[in-house]
This record gives sequence, structure tokens and C-alpha cells, in this order.
Amino acid sequence: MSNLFKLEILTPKKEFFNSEVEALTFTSTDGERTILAGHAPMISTLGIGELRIKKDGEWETAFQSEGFVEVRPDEVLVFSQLCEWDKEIDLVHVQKVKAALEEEARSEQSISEQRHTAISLARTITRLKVGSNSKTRL
Amino acid sequence: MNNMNEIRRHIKAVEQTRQITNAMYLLSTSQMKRAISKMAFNRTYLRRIRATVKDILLHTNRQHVFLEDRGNKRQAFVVIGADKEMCGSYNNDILKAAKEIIGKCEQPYIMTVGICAQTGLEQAGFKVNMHLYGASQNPFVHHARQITEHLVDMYLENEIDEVYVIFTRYYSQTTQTIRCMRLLPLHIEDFERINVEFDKPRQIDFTPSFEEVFDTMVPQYMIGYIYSALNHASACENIARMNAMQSATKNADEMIDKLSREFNAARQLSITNEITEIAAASSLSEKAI
Repeated sequence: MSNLFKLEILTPKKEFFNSEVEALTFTSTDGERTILAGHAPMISTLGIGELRIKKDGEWETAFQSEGFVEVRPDEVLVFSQLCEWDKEIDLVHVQKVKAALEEEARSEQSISEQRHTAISLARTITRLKVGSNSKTRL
Repeated sequence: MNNMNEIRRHIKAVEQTRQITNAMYLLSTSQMKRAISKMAFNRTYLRRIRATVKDILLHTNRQHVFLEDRGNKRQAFVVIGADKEMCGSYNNDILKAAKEIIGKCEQPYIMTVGICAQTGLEQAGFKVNMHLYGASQNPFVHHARQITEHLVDMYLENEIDEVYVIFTRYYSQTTQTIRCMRLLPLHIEDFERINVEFDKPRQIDFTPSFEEVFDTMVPQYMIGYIYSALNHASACENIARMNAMQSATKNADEMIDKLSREFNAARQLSITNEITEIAAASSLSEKAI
């Protein structure tokens, strides 16, 4: 049995990834999970975090936003709101967004606005982390 | 002479209007192309996410708040229109359909996208509870997220029982239809036309738990659907505007043609008059000598 499986990552804007891979690690709402070939059918959630793909022996890292994962016997499908390779994250821009969001969080807001800002802020901080990790590795 | 000046001014005015309509035509053409190219990716996402949701619905018989049919019907509607006018009957069509559907409900909660949708419904006597500007021309995922978060909150707090979205669905350059789609609660009947990609009975594991999976999955599905509805609506709006502006430009061309013909006739008439006058004057002066 081959140790490869088909992985597809879809976001509303584009098809992010579609290829045969060896392993997938994603951040679920309760922690990281790794999927290898032949995994039992499963549906899991995606939180905000880091997504890693092992392809041809090399790990590639990307930022992932909320969504869900469906493991089927024939393939693995990842639906995420936003995915971005770590190398493509524009750190300067994300820094700016983060500053603006922090400013927003300090101003007066309704409860739903507050939650919205908190989620956006969590997302930018993770993006920043994923992006700067890639820079230090180089 | 007066007549000639008047016609000249009229031609100038029509030419200026023609410039505007022509510019708007070119602009809406490029915007339509952009909207359609965005839709191409989105269509795959939506098809697959709907197939997956259907697949999950087929393989579970458990209860969840997003699945239950609450008896009393307080419906929420998302009506997607345009921010600007000048797009033919696009706004009227969507408003007509929306009024018909919403008119049947006792306690509708109305959310509009686009100024025209808001003012149109308010003029018809409906109360618009929330509106969103700027999302109809160039929709982003965060617009869809904003709408979804608000509606899901209301749904979970038991303020609304059902969520519908009314928008114009794009099929091709010439066919667009108005669709009213139920997003919440999820019903297997709404997925009838979707083909399941992997149709074998099997046991599906939900991790961390069934509840948590549904809590995240359903809003994701809604965001995907609303984003695609916004994209469809924006493509349709720009097609409608393109057609309206194209015929306006054509009309202006015809008008300029007609007016310049009138102008030439008037000019000729004035020249003829002058010649007659000169001839008459010279024959008079000859006689005087």
C-alpha cells in the first residue's frame, strides 16, 4: 500500500493546494492532528493556526484560518476560509493590520464587535507567528 | 441663427452624456469580467462544500441546533441588491421578488446589501433591520463573514428561526434568475440537486465532537454560500449595468445623428436666407443706380 494520499485544500477565493502528499498536520480547535494515508473516515474542525504538509520528504508550512477537514477513504478535503504559505505572508502589512486592530480593540465596541475584533486579532497574531517562523528558518 | 445655437448646445450636452455612459459601459465590462473570474474558483469551493455537507447530513441522524426545525417561523432575509442605480431593471427585479417573499411573513428580519435594496424595501413599508454598504460592488470574504456572524448569533440566541438569502444567480451573459435559498436550518431537501461525490455507507468519526464540528462547519458553509451569492449578484449587477449603458450610448449616438442633421438643415437655411437677402439687396441697389 502506498503511503501517499490525495489532499485538496479549498478556500472560497481559490483552490489552494491539490496534490498527493505523505502527511498533513493541521490545528484543530482542540490541538494539532496529523493525518497519514489510510486514516479512518473522520470529520474534524479547523481552528486558527498552522498547517503543515509533507510532500516529497519536505515539510511545507502555511497559515490556516477556521474551517473543517473531511477525511474520506479516497482523499482528504480541507475547507478553510483563508490559507497562505508562510513565505508569502507580508509581515509589514500584517504588522500594520495588527496595530489597527489593537487600536480598535481599545475603543468602545458592542459585544459582537468586540468578539469580531478578538477573532481578527487572533488571526493576525497567528499569521505573524507563522510568517516570522519561516523568516528565521531561512 | 437662434435655432442653430440651440441645436449646437443640445448636441454638446448629448455628447457629454454619451461620454459618461460610454465610460460606465467600459467600467462595468471590466468589473463584470473580474466578478466572473472570482466566481470560477468560488464555484468549485461551493460545489464541494455543499457535497460534503450533504454527505454528512446523509450519514448522521443526530440532533443539533443548526438542524432542528423550530415551529414558529421568524424568518430572516438577506436581500442582495446594488449600491448604485443605472443598471436597468436589476434592482427592480430583485425588489419585486423580495417584496413578494417577505410580504408573506409575519415577523421578517431584513438585512440588505446595497443602498438600492435598502431604500426600495423601506419605501415599500418594510422595516430594514440591518444594512451593509460597499459589499455589492466588490465583495470580499470578510463581508460574508460579517453577515454570517450576525445571523448565526441571532439564530443561536433564538431571535430568528430561519435564514434565507435572496439574490440574482448568474448562469450566463443572457440568463440570470432570482433565487431564494434557505441557509438555516440545514435541510436535506435543499441539497437535492447536489451530487454526492462519495456514495458509500460508512461510519464517520467526529472529532473533537459532533457538536463542535457542526458549530464550526455550518457557519463556514454559510460564509461560502453568502460569498458566492455576493459574487453572483455583483456579476449580474454589472451585466445589467453594461447592457443599460450600452443602449444608452447607442441612443445618444442616434440622437447626435439626428441633431447634427437638423443642425445642417438649419445652417443651410440660414445661408440660403442670407443669399436671398444679398441678392435682393443688390438688385435693389442696381435699380437705384
